[in-house]
Amino acid sequence: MILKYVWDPFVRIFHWSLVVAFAVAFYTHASEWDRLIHIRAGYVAGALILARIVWGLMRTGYASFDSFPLNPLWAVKHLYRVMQGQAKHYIGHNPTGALVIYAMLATGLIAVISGWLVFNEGWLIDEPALLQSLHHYSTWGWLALVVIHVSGVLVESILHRDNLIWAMITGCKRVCKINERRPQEIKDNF
Amino acid sequence: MKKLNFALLALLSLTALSASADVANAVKLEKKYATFAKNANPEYAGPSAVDGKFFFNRKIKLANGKEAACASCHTANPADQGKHMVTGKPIKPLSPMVNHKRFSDVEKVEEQFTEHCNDIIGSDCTAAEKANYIAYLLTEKTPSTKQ
Ligand code: HEC
Ligand code: HEM
Ligand code: HEM
Repeated sequence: MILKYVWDPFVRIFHWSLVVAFAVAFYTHASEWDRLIHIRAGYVAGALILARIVWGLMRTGYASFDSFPLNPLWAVKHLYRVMQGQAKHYIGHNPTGALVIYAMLATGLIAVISGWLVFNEGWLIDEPALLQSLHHYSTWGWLALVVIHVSGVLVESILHRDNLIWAMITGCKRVCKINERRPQEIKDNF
Repeated sequence: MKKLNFALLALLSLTALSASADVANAVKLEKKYATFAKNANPEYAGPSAVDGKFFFNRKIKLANGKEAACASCHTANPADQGKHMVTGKPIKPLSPMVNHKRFSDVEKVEEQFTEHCNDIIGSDCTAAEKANYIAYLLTEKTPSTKQ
């Protein structure tokens, strides 16, 4: 058993800032008094997501999108193996986690853009009712994805006896040497 | 691609349809709230535009020290364009007589009532207050100034 440095500071700061921005936006959504706080939190979340996308397109090791490709088929296969109790141990994001991560990034972007358009009513797309529904479903859908995400994190943490939450704070993951593989080798397993 | 176009068209015509719904919906909603109000209190005499107007303009001191009324954002004349007292953004007229899109979507109306009543009076409004409110809005049909 060794400790491996996986999450760079950008990813860790991005992650916990996004959690805070999301929580603030949700907490303040219902009151007109908090409207300005709500939209600022939303803009922060949007800026974080955009920055993460740029970071993912660069050569940033485990944080690079190349190291956790979006592949729904692998995601289902991995989930199936988890249920059979023979899932492989990934150093970076596992394929199921990756699918949820991409879904969260995309839904988050839709939530921010639709919120922005709702706030600036009549600007660009003058369909208030449509935009409000879009903001409603994208934000609540995002919340549903977060629930799935956190459940997945907890399940993997327990199954692999590896505290992923702590890893997202310190950057270091406990990695079993036998299973160690570099991102490029993920493909060979499928 | 064609399927997508059809779906988009259907979605658009659906929103167009809900937009063309007129004051009939507001009247229906007013009746609905009035029924609830009667159930809760048999002495409720029916929607009162006078009470609605009083409620609309009544300034209430909030727990956070602010003082506001529904009119603070929706302006003293609900047939006029309002102005959000926090963000400064314009708000389309609230009166369904001027703005036919108002009070057409029950779910949205319920949500906005709950949230704004919570903002101003600190709890949801009663069915009687809502019925009176709509009754009052239905009497405001002339914008005071040209927008
Ligand atoms: C801080 C500003 C503010 C205050 C105060 C306020 N509102 Fe609103 N109200 C808004 C905004 C913003 C909208 C949404 C505008 C839109 O959808 O175009 C709105 C919309 C509504 C709607 C939705 C109508 C519809 O069908 O679209 C109702 C109902 C409503 N307000 C009721 C109230 C009541 C009742 C009060 C007083 C207890 C109140 N509002 C006070 C800002 C305010
Ligand atoms: C607003 C809520 C949340 C959002 C939007 C969110 C989003 C994300 C995203 C986008 C990633 C990918 C990180 C990257 O590669 O940059 C991620 C990973 C991760 N998140 Fe969250 N997250 C949320 C809440 C949480 C919470 C509450 C926890 C802790 C319980 C958590 C724990 C983790 C962990 C451990 C990882 C790494 C997963 C792995 O090892 O593969 N997240 N999250
Ligand atoms: C982290 C991102 C965001 C989250 C999680 C979020 C969440 C929400 C939620 C849950 C609602 C209530 C909608 C409903 O249930 O119908 C809401 C309403 C609203 N949001 Fe956001 N939001 C986000 C970003 C934004 C942004 C960036 C803006 C504007 C710039 C914005 C503007 C608004 C406005 C104006 C409303 C009121 C809509 C209405 O009254 O119908 N939001 N938001």
